[in-house]
Amino acid sequence: MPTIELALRDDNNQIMGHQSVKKYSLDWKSQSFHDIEGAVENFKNLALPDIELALLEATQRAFIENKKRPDL
Amino acid sequence: MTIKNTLWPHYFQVQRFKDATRPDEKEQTYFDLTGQFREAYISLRLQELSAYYSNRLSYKEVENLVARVTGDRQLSDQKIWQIVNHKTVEIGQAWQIEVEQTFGNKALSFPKIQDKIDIYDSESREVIVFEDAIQVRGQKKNRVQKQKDNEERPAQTVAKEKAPPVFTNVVMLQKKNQEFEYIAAPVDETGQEIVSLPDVLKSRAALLRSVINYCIITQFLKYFEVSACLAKSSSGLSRTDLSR
Repeated sequence: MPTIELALRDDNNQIMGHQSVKKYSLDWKSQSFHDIEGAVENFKNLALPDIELALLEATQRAFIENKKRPDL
Repeated sequence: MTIKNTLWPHYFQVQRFKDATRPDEKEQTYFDLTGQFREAYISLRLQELSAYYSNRLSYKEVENLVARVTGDRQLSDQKIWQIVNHKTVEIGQAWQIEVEQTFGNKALSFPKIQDKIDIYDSESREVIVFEDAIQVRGQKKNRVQKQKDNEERPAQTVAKEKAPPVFTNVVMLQKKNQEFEYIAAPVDETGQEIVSLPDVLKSRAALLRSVINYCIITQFLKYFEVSACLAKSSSGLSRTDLSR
């Protein structure tokens, strides 16, 4: 079963979020195009919300850090 | 909290902030402080998606579409109706302000609108008319109330008390580049016009006169002369849409 590893990095090439690398298994029953398409679509439904959430958490974290800065 | 959006909805732990020096003040969230999700935890993109397809499908079908696209039944048909209604009012208020500002501009000149035209008069000047009167049924505020009504009242009484139709008059103006601009009167939450369609047209023409050359305006004026007819039209040319 093929696996996709996804790492979200910032401008400094640092991993964003709590989880360093997230893995997604592509569950294709047979090797037909229909099953491949289904597996990729399922990956999209799982991975994209995770990316969105990780980015949202990162922006909130940056906002909190900014709030804590005594010079601001 | 769960944020509804164009992807799978996800739970997000939002940070709450409270000013220790001001204990009486209400705490604020990260979204409050960044000006996001002021009214509901529904992303603007999901709202736009549902509003866009509400112009093409029934609210129930849009509910199904959102579930199909995002993988989850995130919005009910009633919620989608509320989103569309809210957006309509928001846009209507913006148009109202624009029209008022235009009329307040003394540097602009406004064309006159001929209120009545006998379109069957063989002596009248020939004009090109585009007409599309869309009629939809007014909707009940909620389905629960409708069901309650059905239970409490005899079937015949309910059948007679159908929601009144909502009329929308649209004027289409042809531009120099052969594209068309559609104009409708802004409405409030009850569907009542807050600025008359002729006033919207006058305002639009006054603005266009200042930016577009005269030949376009002349063409516009031809349409203007029949705008009042559109408001009263119920001819066989009208399209009746009772699908919603």
